[in-house]
Amino acid sequence: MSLKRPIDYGLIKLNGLINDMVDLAGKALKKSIESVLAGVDNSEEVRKMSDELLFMMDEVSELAVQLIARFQPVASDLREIKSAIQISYDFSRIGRYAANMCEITTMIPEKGCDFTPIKDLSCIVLEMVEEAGRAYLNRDLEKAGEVRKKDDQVDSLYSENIKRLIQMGGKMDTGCLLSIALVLRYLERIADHACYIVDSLSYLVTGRK
Amino acid sequence: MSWAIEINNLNVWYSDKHILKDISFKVPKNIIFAIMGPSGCGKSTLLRAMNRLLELNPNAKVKGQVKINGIDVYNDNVDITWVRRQFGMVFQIPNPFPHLSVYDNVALGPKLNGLVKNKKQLDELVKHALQQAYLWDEVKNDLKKPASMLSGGQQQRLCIARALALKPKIILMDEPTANLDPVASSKIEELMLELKENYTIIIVTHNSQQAARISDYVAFLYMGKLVEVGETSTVFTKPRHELTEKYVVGKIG
Amino acid sequence: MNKRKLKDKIMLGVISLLAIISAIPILMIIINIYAEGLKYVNLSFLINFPPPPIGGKVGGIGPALVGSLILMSLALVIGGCIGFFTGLYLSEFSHTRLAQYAQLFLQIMVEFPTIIIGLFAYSILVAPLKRFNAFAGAFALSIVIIPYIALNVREAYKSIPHSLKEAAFSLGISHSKVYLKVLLSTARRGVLTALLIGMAKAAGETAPLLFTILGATFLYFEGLDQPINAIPLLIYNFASSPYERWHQVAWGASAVLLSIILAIFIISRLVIKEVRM
Repeated sequence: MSLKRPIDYGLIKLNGLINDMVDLAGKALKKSIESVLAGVDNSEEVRKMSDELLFMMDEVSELAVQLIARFQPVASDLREIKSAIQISYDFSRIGRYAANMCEITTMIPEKGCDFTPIKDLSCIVLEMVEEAGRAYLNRDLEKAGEVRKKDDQVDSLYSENIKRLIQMGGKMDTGCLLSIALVLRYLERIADHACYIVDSLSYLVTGRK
Repeated sequence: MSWAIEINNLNVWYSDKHILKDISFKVPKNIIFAIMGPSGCGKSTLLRAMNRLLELNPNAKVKGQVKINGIDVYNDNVDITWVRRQFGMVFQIPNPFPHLSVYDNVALGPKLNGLVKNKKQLDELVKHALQQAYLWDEVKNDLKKPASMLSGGQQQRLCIARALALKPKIILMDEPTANLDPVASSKIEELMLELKENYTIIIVTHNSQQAARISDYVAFLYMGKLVEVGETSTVFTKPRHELTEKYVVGKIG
Repeated sequence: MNKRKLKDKIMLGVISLLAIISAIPILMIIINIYAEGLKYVNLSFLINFPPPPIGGKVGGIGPALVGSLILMSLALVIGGCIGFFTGLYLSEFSHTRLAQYAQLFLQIMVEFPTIIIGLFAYSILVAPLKRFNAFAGAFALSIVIIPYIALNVREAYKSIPHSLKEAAFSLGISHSKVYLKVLLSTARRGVLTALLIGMAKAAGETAPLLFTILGATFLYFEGLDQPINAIPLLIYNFASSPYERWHQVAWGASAVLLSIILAIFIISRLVIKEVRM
């Protein structure tokens, strides 16, 4: 008998929403990094995406509450719903940081700062977000491990860059310095959220934190 | 929007007892509409008022409108057997005709109503109905066996097939899982979700959790009055009426 | 063993004993009739004319057997039809005043002395025609069995679960089809039993025939407007005669009648069994 359980219809909808959030968060971050590295102003567009993500997070939690109320989920169903609530928050945060990053570029003076040192870092973080999303959607624990490994890379690159910035102290335009430091900080936070996402995935699949 | 069924100011009395009081609501097409409420609130009566099965009870008196496709089933010009054929009905106790074969249980309605021209057509109709009820694979080699040989859950799915064989638009279900074990019950629920693609299902249940699980819209009936009707997701997360709140959290009923 | 258990045992013993005692007369009747009558029964006994009172061969009960079968069938057709539809009405329209009165009358009719029904048939079908006739007998027997059939058919339909009735009506089937095509097969055990009870009753009744068919001893069937004989009547007439030979025929006829009744009874039991499995 190939029939679906009542809760399955709800879970399909929930996963559809998460899928959309994965796509949108990835897109927002990509746009944001583009705008930082190339000095293009995408801030309005990214801000809209961030708002959209926030709205979707509300949708996810609303749906999750409905599913709990209507189906009394247990075991993997329950973990799926709990994870969905958590990662929808993670994605909304990623969206917000992406928007913040974009806004920085509009604040710094015209001179143009050199963001090239953080190019590698931003690439890795973007990969992490995309991979975390895909891993979650495919319930792929192997991919999740890769994301965690990349987070170690991010941490070391982050501290390297911060050290470099401190050394450069007075030799650099203060605006640029602050901007780069903030972007670094945002990227590091985004990487953390990518890790939280794969943590939720492990919890969903294995039941362990 | 066109509605599957529209009920306007429906009142029902048994002798002098006022059972249903001024019930009005509309049911959209292709959804599962649940009617829930504590026992004795008039749920089953409401269901039977729709297909005029209520008239088997000589003491029942009905006032008001029940419209399907804009036709009031209580209009004097409307033929009662036509009305009943517009609905398929599934009951609380699985009630296939026990002495008839699995095949004949499904074939009976179309045959006696003259809906088929020949045996081949009837065979196809029976097969299709059994497939729709997800019973075909289990009984295809036992079509000639008496229906009483089937398990409770299978009997109930046979009753669903029997109802589907008349090609109704609306399926009425009166606590269809109340007498089934949990596994058989879930199968029926899953089947209902599948069937709503092609039918409008109105289910009566005293189990509010079942209403929550499977319905898109839900009506709460209490002491013959319609307290609240709305989308299931809303009714079970933020009911508008205090009585509904008490009922869904289990403080009454 | 404690006192309560002992009491239970004694009670059970007494009840069992009473049950056995109540069965004894039935067994004794069967044994007695077959012991006295069976020796006269053979094929020619079933076919031949009865013997003259004195001298001649043993003869047979041919005309009476044919007459009984004709009367039984006729009574079953008339009484069966009327009784069946009356019973159906009593069950399915029990809320109507007519049904309530009809049921009361039928319950009284069951208790009616059947000889009065025979007299009634005499007054409307025999006296005006100035001739005893088979139809009058069948008519009287029909009246006797109608209440039995009607009340049993009523029970048969009443015993159909309400949910099956709802199921049948929910399919949009008309009243007549629901009752005669769908539910009749559900109630067929009870309906058949009702008809068999009626048949057995018709086979065994003597009193309604006394004033209606005369008991034409030496005639096979001559027409519904002519006299006819029946086994119970033959037994009554021959057994109350002073002739030894006729007594023997009466014993044989009793054995035949008993066999008919037992056969009907066994068939009705088998009907029930067949459906129960």
